[in-house]
Amino acid sequence: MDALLSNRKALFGGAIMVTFLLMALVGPCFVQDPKGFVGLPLQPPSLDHWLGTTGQGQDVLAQTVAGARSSLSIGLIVGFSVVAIGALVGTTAGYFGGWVDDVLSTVINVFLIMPGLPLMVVLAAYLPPGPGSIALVLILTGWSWSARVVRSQALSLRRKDFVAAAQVAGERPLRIIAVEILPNMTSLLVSAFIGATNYAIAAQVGLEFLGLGEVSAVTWGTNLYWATNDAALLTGSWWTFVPTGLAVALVSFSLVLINTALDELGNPRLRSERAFVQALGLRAISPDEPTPVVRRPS
Amino acid sequence: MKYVLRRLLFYVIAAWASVTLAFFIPRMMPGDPTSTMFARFKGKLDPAALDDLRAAFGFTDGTLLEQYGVYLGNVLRGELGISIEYYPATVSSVIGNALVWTLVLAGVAVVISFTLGTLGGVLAAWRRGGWLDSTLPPLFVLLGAFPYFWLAMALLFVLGFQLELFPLGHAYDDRIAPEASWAFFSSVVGHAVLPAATIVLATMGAWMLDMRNTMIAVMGEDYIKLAVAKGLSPRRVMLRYAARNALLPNVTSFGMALGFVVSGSILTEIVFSYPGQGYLLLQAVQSQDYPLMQGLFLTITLAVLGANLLVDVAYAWLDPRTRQG
Amino acid sequence: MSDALLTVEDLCVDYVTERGWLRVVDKVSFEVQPGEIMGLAGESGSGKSTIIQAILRVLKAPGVITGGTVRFDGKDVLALDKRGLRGLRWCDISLVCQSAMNALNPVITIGEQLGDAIEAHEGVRRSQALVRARELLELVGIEGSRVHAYAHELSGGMRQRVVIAMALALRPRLVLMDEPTTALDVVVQKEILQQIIRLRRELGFAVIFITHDLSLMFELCTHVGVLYAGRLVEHAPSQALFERPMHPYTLGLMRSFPDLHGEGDDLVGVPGNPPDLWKPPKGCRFHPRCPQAFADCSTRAPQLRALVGHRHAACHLVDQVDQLDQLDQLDQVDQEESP
Ligand SMILES: Nc1ncnc2c1ncn2[C@@H]1O[C@H](COP(=O)(O)OP(=O)(O)O)[C@@H](O)[C@H]1O
Ligand SMILES: [Mg+2]
Repeated sequence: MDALLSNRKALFGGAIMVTFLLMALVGPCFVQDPKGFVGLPLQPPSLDHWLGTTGQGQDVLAQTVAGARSSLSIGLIVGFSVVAIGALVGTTAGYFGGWVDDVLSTVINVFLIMPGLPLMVVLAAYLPPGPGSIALVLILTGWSWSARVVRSQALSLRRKDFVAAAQVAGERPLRIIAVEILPNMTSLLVSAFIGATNYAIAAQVGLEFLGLGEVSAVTWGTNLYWATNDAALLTGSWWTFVPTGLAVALVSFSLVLINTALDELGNPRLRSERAFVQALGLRAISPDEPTPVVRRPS
Repeated sequence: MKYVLRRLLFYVIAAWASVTLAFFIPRMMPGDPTSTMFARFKGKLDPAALDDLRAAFGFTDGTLLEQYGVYLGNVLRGELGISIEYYPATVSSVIGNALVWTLVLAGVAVVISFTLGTLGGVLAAWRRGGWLDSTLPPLFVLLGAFPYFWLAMALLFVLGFQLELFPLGHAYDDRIAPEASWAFFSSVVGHAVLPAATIVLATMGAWMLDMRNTMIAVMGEDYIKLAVAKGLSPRRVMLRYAARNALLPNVTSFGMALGFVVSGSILTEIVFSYPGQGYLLLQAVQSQDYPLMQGLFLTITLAVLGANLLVDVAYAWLDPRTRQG
Repeated sequence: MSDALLTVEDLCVDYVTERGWLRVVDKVSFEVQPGEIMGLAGESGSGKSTIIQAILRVLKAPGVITGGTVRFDGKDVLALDKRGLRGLRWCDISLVCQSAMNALNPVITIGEQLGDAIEAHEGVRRSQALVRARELLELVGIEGSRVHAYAHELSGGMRQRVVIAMALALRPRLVLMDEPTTALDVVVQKEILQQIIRLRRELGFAVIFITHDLSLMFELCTHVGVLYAGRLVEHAPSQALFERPMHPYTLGLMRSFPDLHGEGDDLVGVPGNPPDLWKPPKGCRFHPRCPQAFADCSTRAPQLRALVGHRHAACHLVDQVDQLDQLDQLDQVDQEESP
């Protein structure tokens, strides 16, 4: 945790994420009713409406803040479910190996290779519109990726001594998976969770942009849906789509930053290279640079 | 050869799974969307055509298994039913007309983005921490954080609407006849620039980071150290020794990511009213044209599978260890 | 001895880590004469690979050379820039990596890998370089037609020969060999050693040969240096060292391998583990494992001292006791050992 706090990427990413989580939790109390007709439509930002108004005369700031709540909560729920399913399928395939692994791997790879959006569209079109359907669709199309990374980790953990020891001791497979294998991939699961949340937010926004969500709800995706429907580009009302887009990008960027930082922390070579660069005051490391000579008493 | 055959088997399984999925989705859904769908056709279609459509979906009399058989046969023959939106055109013909636009746009954009991204990754990794490495990856990660279609909107807004540098949509100027003329060709290119640029900007970062990471792993190998010790030129070590090896795993992840890229380019097409698969998909959603939706799902999925097969062949050819195996 | 081909003097190498600078090679000095085979022995982790990579300046980050000099044929290697180094590398000094498994690029033919050094340094055309590559393969007993093969198509032994052939491509005067036979089975190992000896006789290059297997050294080398925890503890002509090791660590190392005739019944070895370089033992770094350690050993570090017969050792036993007494004592040990 100390290391995390001393990493600039982690700090920056964490700060953005905390800001948006706060915004999602308490933000809606401080802004106007996001659905209310509060002024003339398509007004540029002003003192009354800091981010202007939409084509329906709603406050853009209020909509952006309110959108955070639904988009983030769905993102987190889907992220969690995706990793849970991925962990279940991935460890089963990786731990048992043999035909179990063959079958599960094929299923994982088939889902992995199918382009997500058309499948999502077909599923979402048949399901009644709403956050539940969106979440279901995102989980169905997203689990395979985390199952894949968990599987390969489980495969390598299975060959470790402590697993062999547990097997010899007669532990049941379920217990070995729960006690020996899963705890040893915590960092992988955390980073898969962050990645899956990122995926879920982006995919949700995309689906709702297509009009496959509940268009009367206020989410980041429907904000963008209404912006195009109300001819934001034609009328030059950039303020109807820029704030939401920036919000989505900032959240996604912060998640990527946090994941990169976690990666760096778990990689001793990267850390020692950083120490090397700093100690020698170098600009870059390259295979083509000769070993430096720095005279220095012991 | 064995490698390619094994992959081929996998793609056959994947194709069968997608086709089957498309069969079961309408049957598993709550409510009864299919009867709603056929009800919508009632006014438009004569009873014979309606029966054809039922057959295309496999909603014939008989057991589920028999229905599945009829459906599989139809898909194999490329009969995907009739579009509601474009009635009386068949789904296959509607999709076929739009397919070439998507293939050209997404194909060209993906190749450009993969090439540039890979090159960027090679250069960034070669001088880790250098100025290229400390500017390009963060910049493209930030760009990649925006939804594709939002980047498309922003580009279209600034370069199309405000600065009027590019056309606002469609694949070519309506006033030009689609024929093999220079005017038509340049119009097509002019219309494709912004959508392609969007896809390139949005996806390049991922290829670049991937390549950078595999490069760094490869650069730890002994053969790189030996190449440096041989006094080869840095360019040769970087390209023939490091990049050539790092490219292989990257080609695999290229295939894996294609589905994702295609999904993004579909949304991009929508913003630019580009008459490809994405635009059709939006139409299908808006008019609840289930046959068209289903057809699009199958077409896009099979296209991605086909592209992956090509990638695998390329991999097998690039890697001497599979080339001879 | 100013006619030495390579002179390494007080060489220090550190790794820069998060915890600080870790010195893994500490004031190591030795010379290599033209055409001789100089051996460097020591347990794994003692700094052997680090030293030879530092000589060519191909040691990767976070390695830093922190002191000393390296002279090749009068040239100050540590003062050379990138261009100067490219001129030195492979033309004068070449390298055989620790593992032939990873020393070859898997995606280009071995012919290209043999030839590209020739192309780069002599500016010949590719077709010509390929002809030379064939000759090189034949030199190490591989059919010339195998230039079109890829690394994965060759056996481990063949791969190692290819790597050796590669090192000889430009007829360098010094070849650095880092455990060239460690990963191979005994028969192949023998063949390759024979080949190295033959090639050296024919071509006259000098070799620094690294191994942790001392018995190999005596078979091959003219001089042997023994490293312990980054320091040279003994350095002597191979024959003298074989007959009469002066440092208790050398003695221990010799006992941990079966001798040349394969009679390895009583492998004693050196009990204990090499020290943590972050907190090396005070005084002599070997004293916690040394069967003959006494009070002085844990307080004062012994210096590498010149002894009779071109020998050097860093041990208080040698320093303190009258030199001849010491030799007698060791003689007795020897006699007790070989009934
Ligand atoms: N990147 C590194 N960071 C810190 N210590 C290292 C690094 N690489 C090697 N070392 C340490 O340097 C010492 C010498 O290593 P090496 O030269 O490879 O030994 P040898 O070749 O004799 O087995 C070892 O103790 C090893 O732990
Ligand atoms: Mg070594």
